[in-house]
Amino acid sequence: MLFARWVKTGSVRGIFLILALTVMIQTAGADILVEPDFSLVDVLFSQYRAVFRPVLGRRCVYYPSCSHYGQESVQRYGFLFGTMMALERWTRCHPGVRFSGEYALTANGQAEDAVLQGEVETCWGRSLLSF
Amino acid sequence: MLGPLIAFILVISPADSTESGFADYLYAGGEYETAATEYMRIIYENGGDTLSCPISALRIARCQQEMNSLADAYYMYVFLAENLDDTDLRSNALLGAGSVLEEIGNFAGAREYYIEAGSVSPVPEISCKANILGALMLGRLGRWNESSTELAVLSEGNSIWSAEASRLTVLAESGEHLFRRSPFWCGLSSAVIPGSGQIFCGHTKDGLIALGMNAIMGYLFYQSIVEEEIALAVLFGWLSLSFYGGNIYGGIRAADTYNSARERELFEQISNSLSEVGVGSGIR
Repeated sequence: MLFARWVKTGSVRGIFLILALTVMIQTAGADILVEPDFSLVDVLFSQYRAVFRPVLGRRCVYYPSCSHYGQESVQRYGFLFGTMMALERWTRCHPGVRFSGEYALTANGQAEDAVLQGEVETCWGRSLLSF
Repeated sequence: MLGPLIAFILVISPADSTESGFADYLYAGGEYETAATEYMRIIYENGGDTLSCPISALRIARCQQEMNSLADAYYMYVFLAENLDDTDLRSNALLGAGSVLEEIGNFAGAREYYIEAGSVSPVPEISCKANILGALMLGRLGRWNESSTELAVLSEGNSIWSAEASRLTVLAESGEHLFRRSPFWCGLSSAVIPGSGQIFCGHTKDGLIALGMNAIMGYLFYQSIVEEEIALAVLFGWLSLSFYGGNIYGGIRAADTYNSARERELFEQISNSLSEVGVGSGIR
């Protein structure tokens, strides 16, 4: 299989090694280690945001971003279901979301899509107070 | 010419005994934190009795509400609603308490306050407004049928709010027949044909991506088994399952998003309709 051969080649192993070293070095200086109750998931998602996201130059169309969403999903629902939720969010993260009209938009134009979908936020009474 | 008119307005207005012009200016400008401090100073200068300066007290509660200190605002409104003698001010305090509960999603509680404000207020407009809000809370509880019935009763009159109730009756009826997607059926549909639940909810691109990812992962899993690549088979097996599970969850989520979007559209229509009538004309 082409992919298997590609993984087995030395150059790809080298790239993975460099990436792993980058992660380890960056983790050593990351703020996340200062927090007492961090988990491996926190480290991985923080690493992604600190190292890989700037390299990829990609900006998520959602708020919270896919990495924050994935991190919260795994924390809330465990690794198995959290990963499913994170992958599902990733597959629907494309620029068309902003113009679909299905999501409320933030001031930055990002589509609001939290892990826990709450009630639609509207307060008619507040806007009608006469004092 | 304007002098006597201004003097007349100042005489009939129930302004607190201490000058509150600066506080009102801050309040109107949206400087709620400073305005609240200024209103507190006014109450302090009036002997520290909150009930002696009811408008200042109401404004402090509103400032707390605008600053999202909802618990403080709620207790202030309730205190004023329980202790004020003036029924007009009391009804405003009740409206305020209702609006705080509405904001935190306690629609049943909010309705009780609105209805009480409607029954207490001596001003027909405020009474009608409070009753309309009470009826709309039934809609927020999902009882649009009862909401439209109440609004229809409120629309029998000649005031501006009766006309508003008439418009809202139509919107409440449309809330009753709001087109919804079933999360269960959309999830089931995605389980049978990946991505179909999303497509049913109008999320065509999401559905096609989900279908594609499931097909690719399934194919890679199959190939890794055929080629007896155990490590890759484990990896792609796990990824296939995750994408498949995510796809079912995506179908359910798409239905929820669809329903929320339709609900939001309706709420926006109601908000626009209410804003056409405008914010109340102020405390008498």
